[in-house]
Amino acid sequence: MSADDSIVFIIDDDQSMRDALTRLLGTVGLRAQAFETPQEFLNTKRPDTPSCLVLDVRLPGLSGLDLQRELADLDPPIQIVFITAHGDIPMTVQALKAGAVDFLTKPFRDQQLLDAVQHAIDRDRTARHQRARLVELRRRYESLTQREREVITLVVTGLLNKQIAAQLRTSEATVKAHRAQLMRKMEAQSVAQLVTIAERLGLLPLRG
Amino acid sequence: MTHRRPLGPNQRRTDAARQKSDVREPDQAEEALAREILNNSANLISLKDAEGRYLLVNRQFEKTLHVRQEQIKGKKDDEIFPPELAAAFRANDLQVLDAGVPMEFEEATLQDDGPHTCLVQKFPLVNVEGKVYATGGIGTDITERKRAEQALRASEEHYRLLCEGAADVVISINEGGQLVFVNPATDSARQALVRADVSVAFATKDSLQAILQACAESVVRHFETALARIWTPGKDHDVLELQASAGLYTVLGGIHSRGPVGFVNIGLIAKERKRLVIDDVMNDPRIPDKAWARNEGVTAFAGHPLLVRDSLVGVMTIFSRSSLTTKTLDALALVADAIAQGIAQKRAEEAWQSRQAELARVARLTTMAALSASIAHEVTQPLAAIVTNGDACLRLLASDRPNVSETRNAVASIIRDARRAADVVARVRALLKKSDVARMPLDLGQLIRDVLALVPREVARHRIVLQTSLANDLPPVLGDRIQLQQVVLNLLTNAIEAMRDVVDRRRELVISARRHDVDPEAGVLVAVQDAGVGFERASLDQLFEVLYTTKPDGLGMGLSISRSIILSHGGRLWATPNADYGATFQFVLPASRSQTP
Repeated sequence: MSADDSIVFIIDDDQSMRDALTRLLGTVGLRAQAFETPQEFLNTKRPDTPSCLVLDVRLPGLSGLDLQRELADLDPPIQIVFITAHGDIPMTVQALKAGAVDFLTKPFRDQQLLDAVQHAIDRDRTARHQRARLVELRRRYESLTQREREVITLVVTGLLNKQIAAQLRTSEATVKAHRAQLMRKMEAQSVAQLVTIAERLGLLPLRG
Repeated sequence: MTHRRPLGPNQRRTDAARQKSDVREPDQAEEALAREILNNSANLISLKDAEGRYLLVNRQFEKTLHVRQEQIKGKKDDEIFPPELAAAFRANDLQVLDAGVPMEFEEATLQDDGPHTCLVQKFPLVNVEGKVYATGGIGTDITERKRAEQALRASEEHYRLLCEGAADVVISINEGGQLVFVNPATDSARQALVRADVSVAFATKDSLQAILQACAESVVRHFETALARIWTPGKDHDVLELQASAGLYTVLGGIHSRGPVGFVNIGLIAKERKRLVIDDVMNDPRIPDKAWARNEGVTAFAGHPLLVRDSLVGVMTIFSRSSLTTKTLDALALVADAIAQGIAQKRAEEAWQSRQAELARVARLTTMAALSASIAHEVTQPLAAIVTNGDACLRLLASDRPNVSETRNAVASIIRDARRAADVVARVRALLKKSDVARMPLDLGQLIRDVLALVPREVARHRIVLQTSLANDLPPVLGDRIQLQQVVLNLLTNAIEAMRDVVDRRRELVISARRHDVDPEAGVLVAVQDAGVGFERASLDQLFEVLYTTKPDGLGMGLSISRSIILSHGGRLWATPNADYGATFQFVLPASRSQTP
């Protein structure tokens, strides 16, 4: 198991359970941070690293499912592994529909929990990666001039330089220069790659 | 007044030959003798021809009716006597002439001292041709006898009225020990005595059969019947089952123990719901066993349907050795009524008790379900920690250089959690063990603390601010621990539920127990006050009804069960809306007499 900077948050009102979970995760080199109540968790500033939440459904104050709803707007969403002393099927379905990674009934097998936690962290890492990439693409796009943005929009629709020049009422040479500049700024190796980037940034017109 | 009485058959026959000999010419001596007889007889003797003309009257006739032989001869009655009397005499004569046989009449005559009554034998006289030519009459004055009879009848009537009006019991028994007369006071005394026995019997906790047996025995004892039996309809109302038998037979089994509704006497009574009386048992086809009736001297039968508001709850039958008067039958009807009411009440009580038992059973189940969820959580929590720590231990030990201090911490935690789980189990066991013992002196304060120990999670989960005010000087109450725990748990759960959606104020829950203010001897007052949604005053009556609930997921049984538990402990449970928010549920339980909790 990788010993990176990832972290597991635990919310359980039972002191013994918090300690045992922290200890178990520690044996596979996972860092854990435990909280007694959801409020305590919400009040704590969390490091920006791959993470997940091991959450007891039945909690004092805000319940586990309530907290899941409250955290739903986070970007990226926090990956949750539910644990419960007595879960029923509707509760499980509700949690999984709302995006929970897994739903474990106490007492659970250690490997089951560790797998679920690892899966959740991986999902979070991927999500963070994708989010970081999108941020980077957006930064590159924002570095383009107004003219370059006009050119890129026409390039990705498949127009030739001559056609673009006609549409922008400029020379073909000028278009060519803009095009080279934006390909460099966007770090695109080919038009195909530029199309993919444009798609992720939402630059492509909706296709009928 | 004329009254005809037929004569006996031997008197009826007329010997024509002898009559003929009577009309032959008598000799002098015979005639003188006959005249002597006629004139010395105390009877009124007369002879009239077919047209009603007098031929002869004797001296007594002359003397009594103030007529002379010479005057009356050849005359008809209407020429001598007042018209209405004369008409009656003639009518009687014509009957005899017509029938040709002797007859007896009561004829009225007017004498010096007023009207007299004569018993007159009238007979036809037949001539040689066999034709009736005259009627003879021999009258006996029965005025005195008649007067005596009337006096006796008047006297009897007088005594009868006296007896019937008397509040005292008057019974007349003949030499054979048979009852020949009872006055109505006797019947009303009898039914009052039996009804007293009936109410005593029904006041006991005995089985219905034992109660009805006591009733039947009372009927036999006070009404002196040969046999009294009580039947009740079976489950499907198609047969009657013998429940009680007193008198000649006291065995309930055998062929007479069941009777189909609609057949034989009891069945007909049950079907038609009417009293059935058989006065003459020996000659009535409805009594099949005549030999039995003769042997036992049974002469009358009466069967009364036992009715409560038109519904049949049984049949009461009696066999009697004396005839049954209307008064006696009416008295028996009152007894039947009392027994019917008793049966209906007993049935209602039994139904109520089984409903209570069912409610208590359901209460136990629902509370157990709630408890087991709580217990499951309490036990699962340490077990889950134990398993997780155990897993962590194995992983720690599996490494090349085991972290000894971390492993030790894990094992210590395991031991601590195992003890925690054992404590929960012990607590549950204690709870269940105590539940075996019904009705013992209890400290309600401690009982409430025990229940509160079960709900801290619920309290925390719903962010309830719990306040307790449990007095230290509570007198012990006598009760079933688990049932009263159910009540407290139910009231707490209700209070918590009622505050579930409250967001604009503190979710305050106050539970208090103290000596009852009004009457310290009355016991302990427990109050559970919430700041929840409360209830409309209009729905106050409905609150305790089974299946009434304001909760979307409630079964609506809790309050009804709680109330029945408190009632069965001799206490009261009620609810009042608070002045500001929510409601207060309170109950009072009487203090135990024994002061050793």
